[in-house]
Amino acid sequence: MRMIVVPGEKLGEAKPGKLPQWVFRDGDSLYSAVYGLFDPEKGIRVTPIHGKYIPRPGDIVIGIVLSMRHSGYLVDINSAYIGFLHVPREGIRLEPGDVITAKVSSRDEVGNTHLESPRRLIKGKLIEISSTKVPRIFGKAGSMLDLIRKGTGIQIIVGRNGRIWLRGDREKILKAEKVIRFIEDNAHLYGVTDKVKEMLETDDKDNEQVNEGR
Amino acid sequence: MNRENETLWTLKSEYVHRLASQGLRVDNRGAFDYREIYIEPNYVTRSAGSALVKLGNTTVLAGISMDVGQPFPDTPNEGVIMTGAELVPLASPTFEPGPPSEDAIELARVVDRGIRESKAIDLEKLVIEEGEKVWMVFIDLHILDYDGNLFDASTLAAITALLNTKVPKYEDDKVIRNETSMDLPIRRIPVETTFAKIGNAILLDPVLEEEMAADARLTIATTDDGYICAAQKGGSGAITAEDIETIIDKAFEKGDYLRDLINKAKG
Amino acid sequence: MNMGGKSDIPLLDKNGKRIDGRDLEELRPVKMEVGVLKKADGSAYVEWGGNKVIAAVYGPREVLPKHLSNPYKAVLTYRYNMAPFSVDDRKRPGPDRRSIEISKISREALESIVMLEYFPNTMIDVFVEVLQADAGTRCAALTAAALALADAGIPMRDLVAACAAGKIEGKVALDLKKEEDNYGEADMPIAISPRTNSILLFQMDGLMTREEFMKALHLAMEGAKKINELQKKTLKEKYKVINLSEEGEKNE
Repeated sequence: MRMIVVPGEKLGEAKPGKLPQWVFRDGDSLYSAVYGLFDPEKGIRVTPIHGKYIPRPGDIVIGIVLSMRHSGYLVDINSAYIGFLHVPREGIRLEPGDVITAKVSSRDEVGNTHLESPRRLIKGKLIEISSTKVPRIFGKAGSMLDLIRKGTGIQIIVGRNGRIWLRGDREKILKAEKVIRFIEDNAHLYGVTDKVKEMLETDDKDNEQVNEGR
Repeated sequence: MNRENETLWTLKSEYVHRLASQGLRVDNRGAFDYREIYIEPNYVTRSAGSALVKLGNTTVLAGISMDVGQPFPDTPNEGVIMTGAELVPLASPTFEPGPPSEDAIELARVVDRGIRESKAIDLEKLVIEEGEKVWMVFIDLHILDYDGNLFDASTLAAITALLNTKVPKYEDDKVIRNETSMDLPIRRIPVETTFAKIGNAILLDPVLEEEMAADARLTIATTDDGYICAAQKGGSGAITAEDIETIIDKAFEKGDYLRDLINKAKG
Repeated sequence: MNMGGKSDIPLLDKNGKRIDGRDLEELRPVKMEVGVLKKADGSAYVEWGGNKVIAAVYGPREVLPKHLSNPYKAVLTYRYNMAPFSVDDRKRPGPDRRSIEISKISREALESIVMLEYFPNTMIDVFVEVLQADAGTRCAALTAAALALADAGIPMRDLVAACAAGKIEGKVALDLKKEEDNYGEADMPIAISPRTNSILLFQMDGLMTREEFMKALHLAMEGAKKINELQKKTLKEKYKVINLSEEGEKNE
């Protein structure tokens, strides 16, 4: 049963082994360090409700090129940490403002984040959601993202850093965006997948609503 | 503080912690011993009052200036006290010139509280014309050498200076500085006692290394008639209610020790 | 802040009730809300008696100016500010000495609780604005700040809660309002980590005996714990975990 926990809330007794992220130990007990979701049946793990993206090696992110440095580029990856993309002379040519996908290759103890395997993204629309909600957009084994792709027929690239690239028919992009925002706002609830299926199946005309506040 | 200094301070901090866990201090003092205290009233003679205090190597010069001005709107029948502190660059490699830092502001306000809240100065006797003209007492703390615990040294200097302050004459709408009308009326003698928490140890009068290593500090202002008139916890660490209980007892005991020294040094 | 003057009206009536009808050990009514600002990474609004404060957190984000950065942990900043119209006599805009002192001790209260080691080389900025003041603003501000930090997803060892106690007409009382603070005999704001009872912020001004001092301390700590219960409730109720399909069925 999923529940909301707050910083300093006890999750259980301390066990040997590595501490999961966002969990800390004090004495013989384990506590949540963040405001997040906790399901005791799924073990001692907390998913923060909000939080800035922290780069992890292996993550695919969507970045915006900031500037050129000799031997590479500085890339904004929607984090407190700027990514550095090392590019050899003969490599890809990028300009400030270019949107790219890249893989986080490493992050050292002081936060310097390195990127590799850049691919420029052209045309299409870039939106941002809270990075903590990205796993819900992917869904179990990518099932949610599959659902949205099939239901809209557009190209969707999801960065672990909360940035999402949508490319295709304009109306379909708006539909996808609506669904993505819905998942973001309701990530903590049960029954989201069914509601999403409903939203995707309904005809656009019937689904017209005034877009409130984004 | 630059990187080199930081490493040095981390090493010193570990050393201080280790000593504290064994009940020892860097200068072999007992946990509740003050460093050697030197008090000299009337150190500078031009101002209305002054005093120099040395607490170990920490040196503070307090100067009292008096002027006539308007009272605060909600206390038309009381004189005014204003306290300032300057951490001048010559006192420490860590003091920089410029407007008061948050440390200087905190110091001035905590010393001020000790004097103001204890009602040490009989402000009602400083009224010249109710609601219009009152005496304003400016307490200025000039830190000359910083080796830890500015609160206690500054309060000692301030109250000693006040005890030796002469109020100038006020005649024909003018302040006549070389003539005195009365001694500044003092009713209570507040002192401040500062304790540092290092690990589980509580130490009175932290020297600079102890201050830098401390998890937290607690300053308690006490009066000669058994009151606590101000308290301030500082530093990024935490203290417990038990710590506070221990400290209060010592604050009164050591406060009387300080008052004794003040009385002996009276000019 | 103690003015020391005498009040025209007694602060306690013959039944021992305070000017707003409260008992000596009663808290003022408090309301809290999280996630009230769009741009901030975390935010909270607290109404505490006549106090209205709003807190916002930005971070972790890049440190500027760069020379302030710490390679081992995040740098925490805290800015307490009062709006000019928050008090009866207009306060000139900008930091005054009192605000600077409050900012310093509030930052110090949070520094050991926020897990700064998670974000080396970054900055976490906490801003609190007092929109309306009725004594106890620094406690309301810190309480809101803790909520805003949680809302921003910043890892912390606990939810810091603050509360003040004081002395009016010779009696120790909880949570002074403006008139009580102005005409009372002492004021003691504190902030704690409720989980461990450790004291993170602690000040006192006025005149108190040792017994009154310790009584006020314990009263304020209890008050802070009550505030903490409301903080937890506010956070938990915002994202009540329910079943969407059940919701749908209920509405049909």
